[in-house]
Amino acid sequence: MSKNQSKMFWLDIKFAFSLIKKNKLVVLGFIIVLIFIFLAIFGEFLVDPKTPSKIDFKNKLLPPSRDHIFGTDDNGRDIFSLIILGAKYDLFIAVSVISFSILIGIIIGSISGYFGGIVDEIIMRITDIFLAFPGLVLAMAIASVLGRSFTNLMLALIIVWWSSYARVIRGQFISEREKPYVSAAKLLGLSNFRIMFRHILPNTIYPLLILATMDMGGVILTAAGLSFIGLGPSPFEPEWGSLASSGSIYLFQAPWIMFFPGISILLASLGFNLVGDGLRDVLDPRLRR
Amino acid sequence: MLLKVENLKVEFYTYRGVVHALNGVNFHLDKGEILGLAGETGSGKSVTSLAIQKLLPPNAKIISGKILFDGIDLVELNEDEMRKIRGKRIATIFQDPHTYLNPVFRIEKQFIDVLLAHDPDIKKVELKKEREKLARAKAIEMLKMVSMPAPERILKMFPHELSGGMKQRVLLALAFSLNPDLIIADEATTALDVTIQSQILDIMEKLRRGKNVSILFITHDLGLIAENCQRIAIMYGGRVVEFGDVKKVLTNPLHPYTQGLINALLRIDKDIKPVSIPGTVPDLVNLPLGCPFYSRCAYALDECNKSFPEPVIVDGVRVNCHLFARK
Amino acid sequence: MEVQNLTKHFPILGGILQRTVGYVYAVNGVNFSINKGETCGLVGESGSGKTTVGKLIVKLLEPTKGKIFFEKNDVTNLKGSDLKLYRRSVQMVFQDPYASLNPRMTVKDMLVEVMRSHKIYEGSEYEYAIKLLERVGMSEEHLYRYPHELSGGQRQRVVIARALCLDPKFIVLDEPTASLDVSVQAQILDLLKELQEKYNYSYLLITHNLAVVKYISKKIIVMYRGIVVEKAETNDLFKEPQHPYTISLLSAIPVPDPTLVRKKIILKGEPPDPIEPIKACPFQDRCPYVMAICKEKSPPEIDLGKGHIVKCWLKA
Repeated sequence: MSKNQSKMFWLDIKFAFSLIKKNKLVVLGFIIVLIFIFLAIFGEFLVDPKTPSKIDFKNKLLPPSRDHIFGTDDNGRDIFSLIILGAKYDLFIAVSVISFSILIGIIIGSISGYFGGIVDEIIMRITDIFLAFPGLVLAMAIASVLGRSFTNLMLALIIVWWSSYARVIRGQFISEREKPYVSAAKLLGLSNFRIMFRHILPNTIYPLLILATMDMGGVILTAAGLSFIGLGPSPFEPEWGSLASSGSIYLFQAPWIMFFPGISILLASLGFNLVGDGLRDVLDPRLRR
Repeated sequence: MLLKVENLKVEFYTYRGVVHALNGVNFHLDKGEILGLAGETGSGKSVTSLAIQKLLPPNAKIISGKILFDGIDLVELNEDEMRKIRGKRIATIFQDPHTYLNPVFRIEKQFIDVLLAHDPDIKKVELKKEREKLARAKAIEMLKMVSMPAPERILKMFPHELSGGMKQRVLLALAFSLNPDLIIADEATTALDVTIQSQILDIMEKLRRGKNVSILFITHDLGLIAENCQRIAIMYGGRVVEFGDVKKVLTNPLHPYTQGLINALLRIDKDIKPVSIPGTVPDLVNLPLGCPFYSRCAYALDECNKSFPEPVIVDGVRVNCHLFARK
Repeated sequence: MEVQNLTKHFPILGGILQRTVGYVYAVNGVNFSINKGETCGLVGESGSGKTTVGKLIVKLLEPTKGKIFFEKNDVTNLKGSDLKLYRRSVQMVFQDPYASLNPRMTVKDMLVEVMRSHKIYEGSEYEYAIKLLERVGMSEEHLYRYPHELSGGQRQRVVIARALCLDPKFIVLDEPTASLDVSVQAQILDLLKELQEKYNYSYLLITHNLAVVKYISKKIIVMYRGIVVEKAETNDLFKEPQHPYTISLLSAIPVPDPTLVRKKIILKGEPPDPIEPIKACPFQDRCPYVMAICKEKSPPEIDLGKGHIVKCWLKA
């Protein structure tokens, strides 16, 4: 990197932060997301990693106290520890569902948008089929067919999610492919593969990044929803949705079992949405230069 | 004197730092005169036009200076007072008619809106129907003046149904319909083909004569200024560096930049080899202390790098250059 | 390079079934030829089809009718590896250098990429990139710059350098100076001239600016609505324009000499809509000398000698 270039880069970063700082909500979103990621990575060192299998019926359904600040569940497990340990499951679901969806979306959307014509027609009708169903309902159907497990939950979500990315990327490719730099690249005899992934794709990445961040919250929420209705992982994998689900029968007896996982889900998805909002402001080219 | 811009300074606040877009612009425009404002990209000609209309973007600020329009300092006016002047007394024709014509309304509606809001004769009438009828009649009259064929039919059209030249004629008709004192033509014909450009300029000149309007003609094309304007102001680095009679400035340019600009032109009338000006325009963020043309100037003196030259009048032409301050 | 009866009609799709409901008659039977080491100016206003001709020649578009010959070979229907080979000989420089450079690539990346994809100068791409930059009046220090860090003139030089990368024989220049400031236009044209003298390139210069053609081109072709209306040596055309359209076009160009008094011929009407099929003479609606025959039959090509050809009934 030349000196000039790295200077521009730091100016960019500085400018981005100055924009972010202006919006208090975005800062809040960033803090939430950072805490979430921190817990997902270091959660096992903060609390006892064996908590999910430590069943202790003597201490079941204890309300929040000094020993158990979020109380205990119907198996006598400490909810605070479970939530911290559960963070990694939810982050993992969100990250993998989004990245696989993007990957599939890029491959299909770019082919469709770049070549157009009959290929585009066929691919778009297929995505129409997926988009025609409400996401949650389709995911429910797929998850229940595949059976109850952590991987199947992710699979179901990917199948639901990729089509919207394919759409967005296709749209981006269509608007970019008419630009002179693409014509110039074609003229210079560059291969279609190179033009698609080296030239067009980097110029479509910002809208993709914004959409992905916003969707993280959506995936967490949907995943939690699916495990809440019993299509998620087993109780020994303390994913937040299934934690909340296990508390639903004790809603009046021990509301904290459902309340704290619920709040965690809400905060995490809200955090990603706020960050996505902030990114949109920062990456909006109209605000720059 | 209809318009007098005095020592106008405008800054833009961007993430790269403060852009010193205008650094003391001085020129004036008499009643009924056409003044050509010429300059390259980044010279500040468009910022000047926006500043006069007080339409600068929110990250820009007028730091100092006066814009005296018919005795009123526009810098001091608030948005409400300015709105009464804009459109009514100062009309603008932009390069891109889309910025002015609303795509969802028929041409008719655009005329009626403007005329009902500003035209005193039409405002007097009590009945709304009558007012609209009057406005429509006036619109047809104006479209005829810009030699638009079948004006009644044009009124029923949407902007996108018109060609570039027709849109620009509609804008001319709109601009002249309120009998403004000043029209700002900001690269008004740049996007048009030359044959259409000469049509539009011909109409503009006829209307100007008929209504005795002043025009601030902003363009990068010195040829257009030579053929249409009486006086010329050459801008460079956010200042007017040479200001005077078109014939004098273009046949005997004083400022080295004006000379360079004329020598760089590709000519169809003469067989002269064009010579580009070496170097690039100054960075308006880190503006040099002295003359902004210093680094590109073949005649640069020591003092040119130290201070911006005071204006000197040479044979009725005002020039800001140390070469003449010395004599 | 020679084109014969080159025609391009773009279909207009409409309705729910996306059926062809009409055509944009962009180019309608264009003939011309350009010799090695020669520059030919192609002049016309917006909608005259001049850029479409350029894109047809470099094969960004497929012609509806007609043939394109390059070095006596028919290249109209090239595909695949033949097309890739053709692209090494025929290049194009676009109007807006900022838009035709990928904003996220450095100058070096852009140049090296082209060499790699054609497997030329293998192993010495870096050295050759510097050589190319020097050839267009830039230097090694610009190698790692991004397009937005260059001035308009420098960007256009990079675009030219990139086109020269493949060592072409024929270059289509589409409005090479239109987006540049007046003070640097001459520089770029001088560079193009100099390169032509050194390497014997042939140029097709597409522009609306007659002054540009006058400066660097020997031959000139005037197009109106996809038809060549006049063809001549540049000097002859400026001295004695024959077609009424050329005459009015020349008179409409503003001249920066306030002492000069010229009579302007102001055309009435608008340029014709290219979705109307052409009937007889395309200029009939705006022509000051229009005759009855102009509305009935298409005018013949009249050869006035010295390669001066005009398509007008007045000269018949």
